[in-house]
Amino acid sequence: MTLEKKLILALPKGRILEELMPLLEKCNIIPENDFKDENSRKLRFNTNHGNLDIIRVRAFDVATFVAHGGAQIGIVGSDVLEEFQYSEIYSPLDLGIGKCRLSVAITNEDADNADTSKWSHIRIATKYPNLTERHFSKQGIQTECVKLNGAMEIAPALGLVRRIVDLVSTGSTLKANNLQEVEKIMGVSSRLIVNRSAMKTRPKEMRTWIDAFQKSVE
Amino acid sequence: MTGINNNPALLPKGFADLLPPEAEGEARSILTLMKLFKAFGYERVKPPLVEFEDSLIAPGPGVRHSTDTFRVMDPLSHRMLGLRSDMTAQIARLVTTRFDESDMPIRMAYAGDVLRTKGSQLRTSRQFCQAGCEIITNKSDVDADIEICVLSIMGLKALDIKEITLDLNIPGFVDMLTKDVDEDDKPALNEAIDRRDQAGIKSINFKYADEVLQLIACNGDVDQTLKCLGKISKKMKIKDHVAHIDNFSRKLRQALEDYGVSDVSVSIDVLEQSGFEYHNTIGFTLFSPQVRGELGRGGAYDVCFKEENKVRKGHGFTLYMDTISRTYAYTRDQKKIFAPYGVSWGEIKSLQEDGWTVIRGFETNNKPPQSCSHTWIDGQITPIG
Repeated sequence: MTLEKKLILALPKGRILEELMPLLEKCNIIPENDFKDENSRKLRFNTNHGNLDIIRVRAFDVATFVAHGGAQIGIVGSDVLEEFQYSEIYSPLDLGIGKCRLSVAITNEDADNADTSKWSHIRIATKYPNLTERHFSKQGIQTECVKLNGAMEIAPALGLVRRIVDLVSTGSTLKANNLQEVEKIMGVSSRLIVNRSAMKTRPKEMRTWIDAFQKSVE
Repeated sequence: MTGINNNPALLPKGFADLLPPEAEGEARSILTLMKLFKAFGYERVKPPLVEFEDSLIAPGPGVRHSTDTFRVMDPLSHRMLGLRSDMTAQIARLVTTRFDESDMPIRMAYAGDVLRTKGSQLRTSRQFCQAGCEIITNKSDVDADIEICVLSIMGLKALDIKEITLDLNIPGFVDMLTKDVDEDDKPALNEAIDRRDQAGIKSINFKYADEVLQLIACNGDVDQTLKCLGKISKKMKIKDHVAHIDNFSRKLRQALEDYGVSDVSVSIDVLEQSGFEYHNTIGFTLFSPQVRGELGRGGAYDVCFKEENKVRKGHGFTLYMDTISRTYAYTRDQKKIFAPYGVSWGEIKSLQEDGWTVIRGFETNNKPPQSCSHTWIDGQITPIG
């Protein structure tokens, strides 16, 4: 096996990326022009640093790439970190962006009528089956997770489940689908993450980038 | 619903066939390691695959893998058996049952497969090979720990692994730092420390929060960490630990230099804790940028005897052969020659003595296989094609 000398920074596609651009700028990380082009087919991008490349992947995959050492640095929500709990990921910095919360929501009808505290078993639609199961098992409730990849909010109305666990920022999507937030599981914000082996074997380079990000959020 | 998949090629999750050249690669690596260890007086032992559950999962090294151990009921004795999930536990048992005081210090080497009920996130295999060394002494012994560290590095170097990092830790140190923390906060704090999560550490109010953050900022650097530990020892009773790791890292670096081992970094991360639950005084983990994950780990631990108050000290390390095998660069056997049907055994012998791998032709099958680069025709080595 050859040694990949470049460091790879994994960034999540979509919403967070916009909030992230000013941070990258403060760290003096300037990706090549294609990076800003949402339609570009490229997956890996050069930066103004010869030894740093960026990959743009789905948020859940940022954690996977970093845990397996495919990327050494990444930026990802604390929700994703909690879902996977990878032992090979260090998450040294809270970047304070991408803030929202992970909550349990329930139909307005159930909220008014059912005594949910007596339930021993519930079906939940979520992107976060591990996290959800851990959360409810602490309360002695067995969960059956229906894994969906988006549009959770429609699942209760169509009879798939009675609750959902999903990210909430303003709550307007819940409202529009006759749901209400009943319990906050955790606050969410974006974290700088690093691969544990990379931290051990390339400490100086890694520290330089962690420090750069640290300064950019101070 | 689909029925059971009867495809004979399908193996249970986490199990794999090792074929050429990987199978040979692993065997050759083990041989290289065993030879090296023997040159330092570590003699090979081979404990069985299966033991009684209570001796395999005895207090000490065995406990750590209790939940990863396959168990079966022994139809003969009607007792529970455990299939080994870690070899160090077996070595500890050997020490307490098969050796005398007069054998001390005992040096042992081993290589064998272990079985786990579940894979981990990074290692999904449920069967893999561990190879390592253990030395058992009457009392805690820095020289034994140094020998173990040096040997683990030399083992990896003998397998041509580059840019090795040996990351030292003090098992139990995090527990000392978090002693005064409220029981309810402990799991969250331990998790935050494991992830080096500054925000998480700051969110919990405890006496040594600043010190933990300073240690993280040391980044594994030996001198910085020792300086930081020196400062902490003014507030906390850790003078002995600091002196020990200071002395240890010095001796280790000196040993590596004396022995002529280069291209190795030594770091200290006292916040490393998971997986070192049964260790004490010293622990270490081995890394290389060539592969993801750990190449091996080791340290000092107690070997507990049945007799109360009788404890010996184990010092050892294990290398994970599956992780190591990912660093191999395989090259095709260059010198492979086809000896057509009728070539004499004597000619074959002399070709082999010249370093050739010889594939014999049969009367019914006299075609050179693709892997051969040459044929033996009329007493001549003739290239194919």
